[in-house]
Amino acid sequence: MNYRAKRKGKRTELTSLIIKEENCDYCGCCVAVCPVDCIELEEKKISIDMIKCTLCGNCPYACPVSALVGETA
Amino acid sequence: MINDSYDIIVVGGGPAGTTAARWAALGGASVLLLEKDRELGIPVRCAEAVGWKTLLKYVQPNPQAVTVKLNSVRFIAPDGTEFVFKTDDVGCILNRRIFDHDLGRMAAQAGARIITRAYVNGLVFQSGKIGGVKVSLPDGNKEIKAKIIIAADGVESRVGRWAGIRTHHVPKDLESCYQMTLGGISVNTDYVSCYFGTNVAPGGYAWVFPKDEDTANVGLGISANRSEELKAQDYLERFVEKRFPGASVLACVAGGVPNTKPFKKVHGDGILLAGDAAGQASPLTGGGITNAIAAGKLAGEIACESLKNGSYLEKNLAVYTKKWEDQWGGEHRRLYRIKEVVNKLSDVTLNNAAHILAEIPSEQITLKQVFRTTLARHPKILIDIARCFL
Ligand SMILES: Cc1cc2nc3c(=O)[nH]c(=O)nc-3n(C[C@H](O)[C@H](O)[C@H](O)COP(=O)(O)OP(=O)(O)OC[C@H]3O[C@@H](n4cnc5c(N)ncnc54)[C@H](O)[C@@H]3O)c2cc1C
Ligand code: SF4
Ligand code: SF4
Repeated sequence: MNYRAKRKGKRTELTSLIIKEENCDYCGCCVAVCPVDCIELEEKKISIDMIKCTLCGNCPYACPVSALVGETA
Repeated sequence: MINDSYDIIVVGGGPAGTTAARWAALGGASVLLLEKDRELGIPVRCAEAVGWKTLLKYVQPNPQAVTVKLNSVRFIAPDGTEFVFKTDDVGCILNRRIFDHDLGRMAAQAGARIITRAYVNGLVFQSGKIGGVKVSLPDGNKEIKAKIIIAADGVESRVGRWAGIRTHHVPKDLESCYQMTLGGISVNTDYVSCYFGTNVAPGGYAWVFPKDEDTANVGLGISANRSEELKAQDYLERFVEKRFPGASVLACVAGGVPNTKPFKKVHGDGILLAGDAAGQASPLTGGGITNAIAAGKLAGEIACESLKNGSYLEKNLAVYTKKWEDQWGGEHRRLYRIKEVVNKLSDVTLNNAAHILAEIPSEQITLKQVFRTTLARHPKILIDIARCFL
């Protein structure tokens, strides 16, 4: 069983993902865990390609601050 | 003016990137290093501790880049029980701003060209092979050709992925960190302190690394899959409130460290990965400065060698993964297995182990002693730990 499948069973996937850029420190933890490489992180700019994002829920976990908020159903 | 073409392009100006650029340039290649931030070494997403002997194997640091030297580690168990043990190597706390600048200077002296505010956002492929990078510069986008790319773009590494190498981490294998540099506090500069416990830093530890009697890097890392309720920042605020109430915060940063098994492959057609981008930081301690420097040097040298031979396809560069594996792979795997076990130990087990160790006079505590004593009195840990050495 791959990791994502396991995660699906254990934790609900997200219904939406919100970036609170005012909290972001541009550290790259989110990028490091994104399985589909849909986060663009420049020196002081972050954006997520919501078309590619699978709402897997990894990045809100990895974020050391409260800059990514995932909503579950 | 940036040329349109170089032998080697290094992405990322951390210790891995600057070291790779230096050794590649020393070998006679034309080298361009691209860093997205405006300054090397800033922000300092690091607690700045290194093993002195290990560091000296690769660089002679500028004395100004070294703050304090110490040779003991103080462990604090979840219930507050402490024990101190002396390390084989002297540790030192760097000033990474100066240290990283210096590594950049050495690369430039060797002939590498370094450009900051250069964000690499894609690779250029020519008939299916890597032929360069796409970079966003303050005055617009540019494509720059290169024969070999060295991806030293840190924990957030994307360059490797664009080349088809899996570099992202499962949350369990990423430490999500937050650190404050505190001033106006009182710290002992004889040792570094590491605090353990599910309430302190689940799946990780909190550190107090002194930079002076009144200043320290105070931070913690938690396993990224254990941040359901609280984030690393929340844990640290709680920790600082308890241990250093009223301290001044001179700086605060978020950051991530890979705590992963070795990657199967840290090379591809025309590409080498080094440092955190290749998951090469210690999976147990999160220390990655010297690992990045060591791998950067190896990558720079091998890239040069391949250029001289005129062949830099995947099969020609495989020697890099092989050499890394031969030198550090076994140790890395062992540390990973220990991490997996340590992260599973309950607070009660950690407390019990600390009670026993606290009774041994600190001069006698060596890593071997720690294991021997714990094992003798706690057969359950014996089983767990034995497993990780098998
Ligand atoms: C909180 C914290 C504490 C730590 N404490 C210690 C410690 O005490 N001791 C220790 O040895 N290690 C420590 N580490 C780990 C250490 O900092 C890293 O292992 C080390 O910096 C890795 O070096 P590197 O060159 O591989 O990557 P980095 O130093 O991360 O450098 C990567 C560089 O690439 C740049 N970059 C990324 N993407 C792009 C792009 N697309 N285009 C252009 N540039 C890009 C980044 O801006 C960055 O400058 C700590 C890490 C953290 C987060
Ligand atoms: S992990 Fe959080 S703080 Fe770090 S870059 Fe991503 S959103 Fe920003
Ligand atoms: S939710 Fe998953 S896929 Fe979407 S940005 Fe975060 S890590 Fe990437």
